[in-house]
Amino acid sequence: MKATTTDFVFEIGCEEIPAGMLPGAAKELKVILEKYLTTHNLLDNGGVETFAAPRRLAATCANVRIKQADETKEVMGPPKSASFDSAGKPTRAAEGFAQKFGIPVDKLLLVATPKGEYIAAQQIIHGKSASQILEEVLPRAVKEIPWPRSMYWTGATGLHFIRPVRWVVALLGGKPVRLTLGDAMAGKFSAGHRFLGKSKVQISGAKDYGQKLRASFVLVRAEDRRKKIETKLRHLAAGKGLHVHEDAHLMDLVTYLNEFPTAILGGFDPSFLDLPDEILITVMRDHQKYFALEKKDGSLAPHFLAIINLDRDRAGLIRAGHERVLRARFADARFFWQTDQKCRLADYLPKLGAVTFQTKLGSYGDKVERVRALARWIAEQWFASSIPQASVASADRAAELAKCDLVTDMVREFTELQGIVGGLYAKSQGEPEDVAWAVYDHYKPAALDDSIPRNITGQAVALADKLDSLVGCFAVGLIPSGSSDPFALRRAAMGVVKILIETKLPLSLSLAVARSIRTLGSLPPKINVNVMVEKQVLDFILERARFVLKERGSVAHDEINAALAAGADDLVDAVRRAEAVKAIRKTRNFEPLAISFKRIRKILEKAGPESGWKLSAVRPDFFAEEAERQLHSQAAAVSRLAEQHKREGRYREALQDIAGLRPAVDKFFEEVMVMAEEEQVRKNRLTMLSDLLAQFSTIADFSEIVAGEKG
Amino acid sequence: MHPETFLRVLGPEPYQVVYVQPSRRPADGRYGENPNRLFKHHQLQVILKPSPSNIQDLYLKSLSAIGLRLAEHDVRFEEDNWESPTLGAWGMGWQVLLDGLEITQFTYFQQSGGLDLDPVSVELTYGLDRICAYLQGVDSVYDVRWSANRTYGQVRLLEEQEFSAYNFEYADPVVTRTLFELHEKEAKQLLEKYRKADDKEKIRFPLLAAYDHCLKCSHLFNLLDSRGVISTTERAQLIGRVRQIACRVAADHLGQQTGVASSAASSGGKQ
Repeated sequence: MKATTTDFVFEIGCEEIPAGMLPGAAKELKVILEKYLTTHNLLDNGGVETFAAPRRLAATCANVRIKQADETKEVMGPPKSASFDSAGKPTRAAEGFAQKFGIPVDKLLLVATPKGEYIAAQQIIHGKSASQILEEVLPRAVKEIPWPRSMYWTGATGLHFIRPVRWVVALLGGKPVRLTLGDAMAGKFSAGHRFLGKSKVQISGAKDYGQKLRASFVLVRAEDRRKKIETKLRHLAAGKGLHVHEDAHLMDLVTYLNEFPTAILGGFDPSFLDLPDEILITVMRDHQKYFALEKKDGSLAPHFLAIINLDRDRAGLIRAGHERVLRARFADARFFWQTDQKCRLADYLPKLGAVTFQTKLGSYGDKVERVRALARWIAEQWFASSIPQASVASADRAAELAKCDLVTDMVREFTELQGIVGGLYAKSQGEPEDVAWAVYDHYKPAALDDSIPRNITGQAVALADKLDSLVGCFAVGLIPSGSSDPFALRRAAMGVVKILIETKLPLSLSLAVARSIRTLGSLPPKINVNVMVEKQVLDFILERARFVLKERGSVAHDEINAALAAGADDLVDAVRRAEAVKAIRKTRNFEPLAISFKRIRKILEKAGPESGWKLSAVRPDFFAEEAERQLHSQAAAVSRLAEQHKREGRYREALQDIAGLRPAVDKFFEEVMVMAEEEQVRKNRLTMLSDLLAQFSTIADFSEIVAGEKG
Repeated sequence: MHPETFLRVLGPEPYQVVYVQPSRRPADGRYGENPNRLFKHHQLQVILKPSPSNIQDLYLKSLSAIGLRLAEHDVRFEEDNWESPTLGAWGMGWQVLLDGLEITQFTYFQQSGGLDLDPVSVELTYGLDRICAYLQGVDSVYDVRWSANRTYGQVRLLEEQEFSAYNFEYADPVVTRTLFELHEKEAKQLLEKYRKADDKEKIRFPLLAAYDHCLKCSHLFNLLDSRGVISTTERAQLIGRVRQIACRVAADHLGQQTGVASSAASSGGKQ
């Protein structure tokens, strides 16, 4: 049998594509090509594999149908009544219709439809060849690859892409597909490594694509490059008895910066080790993309590993060059370190007045004053809650210094070292250690998996800084929407949540937000805050709390919702309540009771507004059934017990008490019809149920529990 | 940005130029203490319009031509999009690294003076001081042998020291601001006059002088920036002011040249 499928290889040969964009582009190209192959019915089985290296974005597919299957289609014509005259002869309409499809009238079909019988023509649509379709879709596919910013090179009306396309390989079953990208026409020739490989590498198909390029010193698979780098790094480090300073982000970057990576070892003057490790590592990583090396004790060694895009350092010139460059870079860092510290960190405060935080919210100088006030207040709250380590004076000093490094040369050069540099300067200038660490840490956590500030002073400043940004931005209408969140408010809210639940420090969110709003109004530029803002900010933080807790995975989503619905002002308390729900969730009575609570909620919702039925109190004399009387008295007893447990913080016991109500609730629903005919009986029952729901929903709102979900 | 770059990349006519340009960046001054970072360094500027499709190869050949054996070095093109916000110019490209040292900025210009460019020019700016140090195998640009009996340091170190001190410490912010405003005023009055000029006057109207003042504004802005005396909002405003002049110069220059070209063509036709 003749083969029905064949292979396809596609490579866009480019001038160097930015490394950070390559992994995403490879993923997108896969999705886009699979979409087109699937919609055109060309994908037999399996999918598309994509590759990304600095000078190429490529795809292979082993099983592309050579031709689409033919399709038979019925095309509806005019109704039967209009197609045949009274004698049963075809009318002009029928003949015209048949002619249009090139078939004799007697080959027309009759099709019954709900609207009556119609004539129809059977049409065979011949499938197009894969090469025909690829010619059509590949230019579109290329244009669909998203880039943060694209460029043109063959004139403004020419192709827009991330960098100029210089060659294209597009082979279907070994034959070139007709395609031009920019001014490059598709053919059989790829290009090897810029310096080590052949400038023309002939590809015959998907099968030999990787091998052919490998022979020309290009590893098209990112995983192969990564493994090669990791092996070389470990090998060189071990040779010196050192460890590589792990850096996943840098590893990704060098994987996509080189087509044939090799590591080389270099050294630097140990006198630079006087500079803090953080700065040395950042200089090596950011400017030079070197891996730092550590001694056994974790301190830095005067060596580095550079990844070069070659097989080896033939003449030793590369190592010498890198060492020379690093020396200049370190000299620069030392220059910053020394000139920045010609004055003390606090002396930078006046300069912060000239740096805008946000047009309406004033300068960083203004922000610092607000953060100080709020940090003092937070520390006070903690101190008053018998947490003696909380120091108002330390929080105030750390907040005062926290933003000073923004106007130092070091942070201007290495923005990601903000906070860290301030902390290092504070430390070297003799500020108390807890203050220095607080400055160092106060931007933390930078992400969900980042750690929180290490001491309580840093935690107070970090909370104050984040709350001020949240409240301030919401107050001036800068509310994140979709992907637009220029002030990283989601991260700020995430940080607030993480700090609170990980430290287990008590803080009333509503009081803290209200305090922040007051501070915004009382300190320059004195913003009047709309009353809506408090709720908006609290809701925003809660939404993040749900997200953070869900990601942590210790409690289920509905358990979180149940706990938060019962009160979310103190997140630590809410987490403890959610954990209590989780703990008793699997007990016999809990889920059935949750279902009953949901039923109660529905009944109450259906009964309409409370004003229509709610009595001032349950009237035992209105009870008509034994089951409701029993439920009422049991509920009163359980409520006392549960309250007692709750006051003692024993949420689990309190929930168990409540779960014990289940038989009484079940019995009630078996024997009592809530919506009784008689008005006062009905109102009394509704009132009792509504009291029940309110009383027993202060730890967790049971009706949020999704029955049958795993705890 | 030299007018040979800023203005020549505008419009459709092919153009190729190479020249050496001293480049001053106040914030990069290091009092002569850094081996390869300077307040004033020298660039070999190349403009090729339109950009040839083998431009990367041509560039690499230029490195071979000055004596670098490419297989012995790690030469790479790393993403670095160039932008001059004050002049409304930007492009996409790379910094070229030679064993980790940035030796060239390689840019496909997309806009200059706020105007979309068509055709696209490629700009290569070779860092001459660094390349020389590399070729001579010396650790610092100041050790470059300048002539038989002089080093580069003997020629230029004092200038680096003095101008670093001036840029970071001595430049009077008030005077600098005033100078900025004077140059801005002069550029603007020229541009105003150009608008009102008749076709004949336009042909040789000194738009290049307006651009000259625009460049001075750009430098004075950089100077204020390195003195650390401008706030972020003011910074954006100053950039906007210089950019406005640059964009007007670019548009007017293009109009002037088109006018010149068409009038030259028509007068040529008469002869």
